Amino acid sequence: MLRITFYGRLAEVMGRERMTPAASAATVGALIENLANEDAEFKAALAGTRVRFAVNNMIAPETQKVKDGDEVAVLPPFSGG
Amino acid sequence: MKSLSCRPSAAGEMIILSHEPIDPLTLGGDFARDVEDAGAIASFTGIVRKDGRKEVSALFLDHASGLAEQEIGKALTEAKTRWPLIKVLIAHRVGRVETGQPVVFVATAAAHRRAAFEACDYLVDFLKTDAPFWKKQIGRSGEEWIEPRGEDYADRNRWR
Repeated sequence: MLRITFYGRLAEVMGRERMTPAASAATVGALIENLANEDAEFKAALAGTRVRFAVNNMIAPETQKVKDGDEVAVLPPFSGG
Repeated sequence: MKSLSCRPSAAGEMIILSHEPIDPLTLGGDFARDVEDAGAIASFTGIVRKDGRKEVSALFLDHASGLAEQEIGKALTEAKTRWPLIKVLIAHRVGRVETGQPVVFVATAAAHRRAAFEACDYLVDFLKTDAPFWKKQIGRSGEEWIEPRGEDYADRNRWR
Protein backbone atom coordinates (compact mmCIF):
# COMPACT_ATOMS: atom_id res chain seq x y z
CA MET A 1 0.00 0.00 0.00
CA LEU A 2 0.94 3.63 -0.53
CA ARG A 3 0.11 6.43 1.85
CA ILE A 4 -1.00 9.64 0.13
CA THR A 5 -1.04 12.80 2.24
CA PHE A 6 -2.86 15.98 1.21
CA TYR A 7 -2.17 19.51 2.42
CA GLY A 8 -3.78 22.94 2.43
CA ARG A 9 -7.04 23.20 0.55
CA LEU A 10 -6.55 19.72 -0.91
CA ALA A 11 -6.72 18.28 2.63
CA GLU A 12 -10.16 19.85 3.01
CA VAL A 13 -11.33 18.01 -0.11
CA MET A 14 -9.59 14.66 0.39
CA GLY A 15 -8.92 14.44 4.12
CA ARG A 16 -5.34 14.28 5.36
CA GLU A 17 -4.50 10.74 4.30
CA ARG A 18 -5.57 7.99 1.99
CA MET A 19 -4.14 4.54 1.46
CA THR A 20 -4.06 3.10 -2.03
CA PRO A 21 -2.64 -0.11 -3.52
CA ALA A 22 0.87 0.46 -4.84
CA ALA A 23 0.05 -1.51 -7.97
CA SER A 24 -2.58 1.06 -9.00
CA ALA A 25 -0.02 3.31 -10.70
CA ALA A 26 3.63 3.35 -11.75
CA THR A 27 4.38 7.02 -11.17
CA VAL A 28 3.28 9.85 -8.90
CA GLY A 29 1.61 11.57 -11.85
CA ALA A 30 -0.39 8.45 -12.80
CA LEU A 31 -1.40 7.92 -9.17
CA ILE A 32 -2.85 11.42 -8.93
CA GLU A 33 -4.50 11.18 -12.33
CA ASN A 34 -6.23 7.96 -11.23
CA LEU A 35 -7.47 9.63 -8.06
CA ALA A 36 -8.74 12.62 -10.03
CA ASN A 37 -10.61 10.33 -12.42
CA GLU A 38 -12.31 8.60 -9.49
CA ASP A 39 -13.20 11.77 -7.65
CA ALA A 40 -14.76 14.76 -9.42
CA GLU A 41 -14.30 17.02 -6.42
CA PHE A 42 -10.56 16.29 -6.34
CA LYS A 43 -10.34 16.82 -10.09
CA ALA A 44 -12.04 20.20 -9.73
CA ALA A 45 -9.70 21.16 -6.88
CA LEU A 46 -6.66 20.35 -9.04
CA ALA A 47 -7.89 22.30 -12.08
CA GLY A 48 -5.76 25.34 -12.83
CA THR A 49 -3.38 24.63 -9.96
CA ARG A 50 0.26 23.73 -10.23
CA VAL A 51 0.51 20.95 -7.67
CA ARG A 52 3.88 19.62 -6.56
CA PHE A 53 4.75 16.28 -5.01
CA ALA A 54 7.03 14.76 -2.45
CA VAL A 55 7.91 11.09 -2.16
CA ASN A 56 9.26 9.96 1.21
CA ASN A 57 9.81 13.58 2.27
CA MET A 58 11.75 14.56 -0.85
CA ILE A 59 10.32 16.91 -3.48
CA ALA A 60 9.81 14.72 -6.56
CA PRO A 61 8.72 15.18 -10.18
CA GLU A 62 5.45 13.62 -11.35
CA THR A 63 7.48 11.12 -13.36
CA GLN A 64 8.94 9.65 -10.15
CA LYS A 65 8.23 5.93 -9.83
CA VAL A 66 6.39 4.78 -6.72
CA LYS A 67 6.40 1.45 -4.93
CA ASP A 68 4.84 -0.32 -1.99
CA GLY A 69 5.41 1.50 1.30
CA ASP A 70 6.14 4.88 -0.27
CA GLU A 71 4.66 8.02 1.24
CA VAL A 72 3.43 10.47 -1.37
CA ALA A 73 2.57 14.07 -0.44
CA VAL A 74 0.36 16.20 -2.69
CA LEU A 75 1.32 19.85 -2.29
CA PRO A 76 -0.71 22.81 -3.56
CA PRO A 77 1.21 26.07 -4.13
CA PHE A 78 3.14 26.97 -0.98
CA SER A 79 2.28 30.10 0.96
CA GLY A 80 4.26 30.64 4.12
CA GLY A 81 5.71 33.65 5.85
CA MET B 1 7.06 28.81 24.11
CA LYS B 2 6.18 25.21 23.45
CA SER B 3 7.28 24.28 19.99
CA LEU B 4 6.32 21.46 17.77
CA SER B 5 9.74 21.25 16.30
CA CYS B 6 12.88 22.98 17.52
CA ARG B 7 15.89 21.83 15.65
CA PRO B 8 19.36 23.23 16.02
CA SER B 9 20.71 21.73 12.80
CA ALA B 10 24.20 22.53 11.58
CA ALA B 11 26.33 24.91 13.63
CA GLY B 12 24.64 28.25 14.11
CA GLU B 13 21.33 27.23 12.53
CA MET B 14 18.01 26.96 14.33
CA ILE B 15 14.56 26.08 12.99
CA ILE B 16 11.49 26.42 15.21
CA LEU B 17 7.99 25.41 14.11
CA SER B 18 5.58 26.36 16.87
CA HIS B 19 1.91 25.75 17.64
CA GLU B 20 2.16 28.39 20.38
CA PRO B 21 2.66 32.16 20.01
CA ILE B 22 6.21 33.23 19.19
CA ASP B 23 7.74 36.28 20.84
CA PRO B 24 10.14 38.18 18.54
CA LEU B 25 11.63 40.13 21.45
CA THR B 26 12.54 36.99 23.38
CA LEU B 27 13.74 35.16 20.26
CA GLY B 28 15.76 38.19 19.14
CA GLY B 29 17.26 38.67 22.60
CA ASP B 30 18.31 35.04 22.85
CA PHE B 31 19.65 35.15 19.30
CA ALA B 32 21.85 38.15 20.09
CA ARG B 33 23.69 36.17 22.76
CA ASP B 34 26.71 34.07 21.80
CA VAL B 35 27.33 35.77 18.50
CA GLU B 36 31.03 36.35 18.77
CA ASP B 37 32.51 38.06 15.71
CA ALA B 38 29.10 39.27 14.55
CA GLY B 39 29.07 42.95 13.72
CA ALA B 40 25.49 42.90 12.46
CA ILE B 41 22.19 41.25 13.24
CA ALA B 42 19.17 41.69 10.97
CA SER B 43 15.72 40.38 11.73
CA PHE B 44 12.27 40.27 10.20
CA THR B 45 8.93 39.76 11.94
CA GLY B 46 5.86 38.92 9.86
CA ILE B 47 2.51 39.71 11.48
CA VAL B 48 -1.01 38.57 10.58
CA ARG B 49 -2.78 41.62 9.22
CA LYS B 50 -6.44 42.49 9.02
CA ASP B 51 -6.19 42.93 5.24
CA GLY B 52 -8.64 45.80 4.76
CA ARG B 53 -12.15 44.88 3.76
CA LYS B 54 -11.58 41.16 4.26
CA GLU B 55 -11.42 41.87 8.01
CA VAL B 56 -9.23 38.86 8.65
CA SER B 57 -9.52 37.67 12.24
CA ALA B 58 -6.92 34.88 12.02
CA LEU B 59 -4.79 32.74 9.76
CA PHE B 60 -4.70 28.98 9.84
CA LEU B 61 -1.35 27.53 8.80
CA ASP B 62 -1.05 23.99 7.56
CA HIS B 63 2.43 22.55 7.04
CA ALA B 64 4.08 19.35 5.87
CA SER B 65 5.90 18.16 8.96
CA GLY B 66 9.35 16.77 8.18
CA LEU B 67 9.37 18.16 4.66
CA ALA B 68 9.11 21.73 6.01
CA GLU B 69 12.13 21.33 8.29
CA GLN B 70 14.05 19.71 5.46
CA GLU B 71 13.27 22.40 2.87
CA ILE B 72 14.02 25.19 5.36
CA GLY B 73 17.29 23.43 6.17
CA LYS B 74 18.21 23.46 2.47
CA ALA B 75 17.46 27.19 2.26
CA LEU B 76 19.66 27.83 5.31
CA THR B 77 22.48 25.90 3.66
CA GLU B 78 22.01 27.91 0.46
CA ALA B 79 21.99 31.18 2.42
CA LYS B 80 25.23 30.19 4.13
CA THR B 81 26.91 29.48 0.81
CA ARG B 82 25.84 32.91 -0.51
CA TRP B 83 26.66 35.01 2.56
CA PRO B 84 29.17 34.54 5.37
CA LEU B 85 26.61 34.02 8.13
CA ILE B 86 27.57 33.37 11.71
CA LYS B 87 24.14 32.41 12.97
CA VAL B 88 20.63 32.12 11.58
CA LEU B 89 17.20 31.46 13.06
CA ILE B 90 13.83 30.78 11.47
CA ALA B 91 10.77 30.56 13.73
CA HIS B 92 7.45 29.91 11.98
CA ARG B 93 3.98 29.50 13.44
CA VAL B 94 1.69 26.64 12.52
CA GLY B 95 -1.98 26.23 13.44
CA ARG B 96 -4.24 29.18 14.18
CA VAL B 97 -2.61 32.62 14.46
CA GLU B 98 -4.77 35.61 15.45
CA THR B 99 -4.62 38.98 13.69
CA GLY B 100 -1.84 41.12 15.15
CA GLN B 101 0.21 38.08 16.20
CA PRO B 102 3.64 37.23 14.74
CA VAL B 103 3.53 34.44 12.18
CA VAL B 104 7.23 34.31 11.34
CA PHE B 105 10.52 35.56 12.75
CA VAL B 106 13.83 35.37 10.90
CA ALA B 107 17.18 36.53 12.27
CA THR B 108 20.62 36.52 10.70
CA ALA B 109 24.01 37.40 12.15
CA ALA B 110 27.10 38.23 10.11
CA ALA B 111 30.31 40.24 10.40
CA HIS B 112 28.85 43.04 8.29
CA ARG B 113 25.38 44.46 7.74
CA ARG B 114 24.96 43.77 4.01
CA ALA B 115 25.24 39.99 4.45
CA ALA B 116 22.84 40.04 7.41
CA PHE B 117 20.24 42.18 5.57
CA GLU B 118 20.42 40.26 2.31
CA ALA B 119 20.33 36.78 3.87
CA CYS B 120 17.32 37.76 5.98
CA ASP B 121 15.54 39.13 2.88
CA TYR B 122 16.40 35.97 0.93
CA LEU B 123 15.06 33.66 3.63
CA VAL B 124 11.77 35.55 3.98
CA ASP B 125 11.27 35.42 0.19
CA PHE B 126 11.97 31.68 0.33
CA LEU B 127 9.38 31.13 3.08
CA LYS B 128 6.69 32.98 1.12
CA THR B 129 6.82 30.77 -1.96
CA ASP B 130 9.08 27.75 -1.51
CA ALA B 131 8.49 26.29 1.95
CA PRO B 132 5.67 23.77 2.45
CA PHE B 133 3.24 25.93 4.43
CA TRP B 134 -0.34 26.77 3.46
CA LYS B 135 -2.26 29.77 4.73
CA LYS B 136 -5.99 30.06 5.12
CA GLN B 137 -7.46 33.46 5.92
CA ILE B 138 -10.36 33.36 8.35
CA GLY B 139 -12.37 36.55 7.99
CA ARG B 140 -15.73 38.22 8.01
CA SER B 141 -16.76 36.72 4.68
CA GLY B 142 -15.63 33.19 5.51
CA GLU B 143 -12.48 31.19 4.94
CA GLU B 144 -10.13 31.34 1.98
CA TRP B 145 -6.90 29.50 1.17
CA ILE B 146 -4.44 32.03 -0.15
CA GLU B 147 -1.60 31.61 -2.60
CA PRO B 148 1.46 33.78 -3.18
CA ARG B 149 0.90 36.92 -5.27
CA GLY B 150 2.82 37.61 -8.45
CA GLU B 151 5.06 39.99 -6.55
CA ASP B 152 5.96 37.24 -4.07
CA TYR B 153 7.24 35.09 -6.93
CA ALA B 154 9.01 38.12 -8.46
CA ASP B 155 10.70 38.78 -5.09
CA ARG B 156 11.82 35.15 -4.92
CA ASN B 157 13.12 35.27 -8.50
CA ARG B 158 15.46 38.14 -7.63
CA TRP B 159 17.74 35.56 -6.05
CA ARG B 160 17.94 33.18 -9.02
